[in-house]
Parts: sequence; structure tokens; C-alpha cells
Amino acid sequence: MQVKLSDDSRTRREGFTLIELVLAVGLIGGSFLALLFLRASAVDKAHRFNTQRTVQRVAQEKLDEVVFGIEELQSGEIEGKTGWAWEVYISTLATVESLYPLLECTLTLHYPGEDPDTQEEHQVATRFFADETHPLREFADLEGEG
Amino acid sequence: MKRRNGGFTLIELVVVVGMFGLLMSMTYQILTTTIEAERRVNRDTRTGKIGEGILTQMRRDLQGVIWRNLGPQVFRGVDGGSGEGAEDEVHFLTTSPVPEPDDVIDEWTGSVSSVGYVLKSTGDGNYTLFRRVQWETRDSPLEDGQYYEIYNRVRGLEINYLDREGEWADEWDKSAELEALENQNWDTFLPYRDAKKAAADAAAQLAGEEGDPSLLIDDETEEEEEIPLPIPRAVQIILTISVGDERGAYLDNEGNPILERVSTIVPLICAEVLRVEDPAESAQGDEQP
Repeated sequence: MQVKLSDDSRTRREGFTLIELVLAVGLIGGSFLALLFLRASAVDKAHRFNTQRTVQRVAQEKLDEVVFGIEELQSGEIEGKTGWAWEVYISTLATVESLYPLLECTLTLHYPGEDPDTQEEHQVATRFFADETHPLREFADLEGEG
Repeated sequence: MKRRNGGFTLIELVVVVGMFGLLMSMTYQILTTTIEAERRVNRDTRTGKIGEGILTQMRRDLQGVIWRNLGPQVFRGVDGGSGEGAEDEVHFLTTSPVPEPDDVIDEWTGSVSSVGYVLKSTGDGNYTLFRRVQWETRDSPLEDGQYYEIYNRVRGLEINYLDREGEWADEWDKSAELEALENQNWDTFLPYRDAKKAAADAAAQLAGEEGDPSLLIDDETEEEEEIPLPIPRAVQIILTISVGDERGAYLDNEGNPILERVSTIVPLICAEVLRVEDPAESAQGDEQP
């Protein structure tokens, strides 16, 4: 049986060469790897977004507690979260004329970054009138009122 | 050529099957870890979202709180402990949007309805949070109504109320004071008396006489006659929930459900009567000295 079935090149008749095989396997492996990296980065992003949102929420909750007098200290640690600490800075906004002194309270929240050795911080601030019963009344600069 | 016609050799078959198996196991690994990752992402994002979502709904209702001329039943907070396992309740009148009533209610104008938040135990340490809506605000608006389920993995709901003196209270019920107020002698009621006195003084000044002595105000009684504050100045909500999916609650490394505590403070704007100086008056005051 010396019948030639086709006029194809010699390599085709003999099957794949090593180079072709290596290329094919490499391609498949590469695409799988790319998928893996994509997934890992998606998980990372979701995690970072979630941390950011928790930070935002915890800072806002603490700031509210300070301004409404539930939290009486000016700094401390966040309960149930290791390595999370906060402090507030309260200042009088003297430029605004009003019946009650207008104060600004800025809260800085320190929390561990993605690399556990680093610390990151987040700031939120709010303004409020300090009337006679306000828990932060003592921070108002009352000299102008006498 | 002869060998080729005879089919695959054993070696070829083994190599092919082996490669196929390797490929399959790789695919399987990637699939399972992807599913696991998806679950983890879902879990991380759900934990924050649900608590915040419930608080957003409650905040919106509380920001619409209203009380003027609506009778003594305007705001009631029932204390039920604190922290995890707290079963606080709150009922109030609000202008927040609510679902349309099932049947026609004559009294309902569509702008003011009564809303409440109540927990009901499900027996396994969890509570179901219900939002109560009552469209009939005439007789006892803070009772009954339609209950809408909000979330069934609540571990505790604690609500605190800020009173006029700046102190936080566990409960709130001013209906007795408000009822007494309705039977009040309005002639001695401070805001009205102030207005009456101002009018009488102005008239007396025109006539060149002293003011009516019966309208003179004793400074000491002035403080006591302040209008009772029917609703708190601010409300703090502390919500403890556990989160899960259709396979049950999410657990931590020790097998306990992950609890999440979210809180917010909502100032009730219509509780505050903002006293602003009349600019014309303060300008006069500056000129005098």
C-alpha cells in the first residue's frame, strides 16, 4: 500500500511536532493562569472595598457617639477590632456668627492596613451648635459671650 | 504505517488519558476555588450591607417624624434590655412613604402614618424584625396595623432617646404629659402668655401706662411651665445581626455565628425649636450701649 492519501507536508502526516505541542499546552496553561490572576484581583478588590466601607461606618458611628455625648472620652480603641484606634479634635468655628457657638468635631480613625505593619487613617468631621445642654459645650470658646 | 492503521498503542492511550485527567483536575481545582472565592466575597459584602440597609430604612422613617397637633400618642419607645438580646420597640408618627393600605381608609391622607419597629423571637436565639404600618392615625395610632417582615436574623435591637436636658434614656413615653397638656389652662400657657403680654405691653406703652399686672411673669415659674418635649431630640439605634445565606448563618473559626453591630444616631429635626435672633432686634441692641 504505497498510496499517498494527500499532498500535505511531511509534518502533518507524522502528527504534531514537539514545538506545536509545547505551544498548545503553554497556551492552555497561560489562559488558566490569567483566569486565576483575574479572580485573585477581584477578591482583593472586593475585600478592600469592604474594609473601606467598614472603616467609613465605624468612624461615622464613633463621631456620632462623641457629638451626642454617648462617648465621653476624646480617644480610645474600637471595641471588638484589634488595632483600631480613634481620636477626636474639637475646634470652634469663630467665623460664623450664631446664637450658639458653632463647633467642628473631627474624628481620626487609625486601622491596620493590608500589610499588617502599616497603619492607615480615615477622617470624618461634622459641625454642630453647642447649646447649654450640649455635652461638648466646654470646648466652645465662650469669651466672646461675656 | 501499518501500526497506525491498527489504532492507538497502549502508551499513546495512557498518555492521552493521563493528560486529560490532569487537565480535568486543574479545571476542577479552579472551579472549586472560584466558587469558594465567590462565597467569601458574598459573605464579606453581605455582612456590611444588610445592617446598613435596615438602618437606612429606620433612619428614613425617623427623619420624617412629626408631632404637632396629632394628639398625645405621637412617640413611644419601649425598653427591652441592652446589647445582644435586647428587644426594644419604637412607635411613632411619620411622613415617610409607606405601602398603600389594602382597603380604603377614610382618615388616611397619605402623608402621615404610624410606623413602628418590633422584634419577634423565632425560638433559636434569632429575632425577626417587623416594620409596623398603621394608616389610621385617629384613635390609638401606635397600636396594631400591618406588619411587614424586614429581616429574620436579628440578634438584638437597642434604641435610646435623647431628652431635652441632653441625657440619654432607655424608653420614651410622654403621652400622660401631653394628655395633661390638652386639659391645660391656655391663658397661663407660656408661649401664648408671652404673646399676650407683648401685645398688652405694646398697648400699654401706646396709652402711656404700666402693663397689666396679671400678665407679669414670675421668672421662677417660667422654667417649670416649659412645654413637655413630646418626641426625643435624637434617637440612637444599635442593631446586632447575624448574616447568612440559604445554607445557614456564616460562622467564624470557632463555629459561632458572626455577629455584626451597626449603629446610628438620628436627630429628630422637628423636636428642636431653633431659636434664632431677630436681626433687627440685635442691630438695635448694638446701638443702645
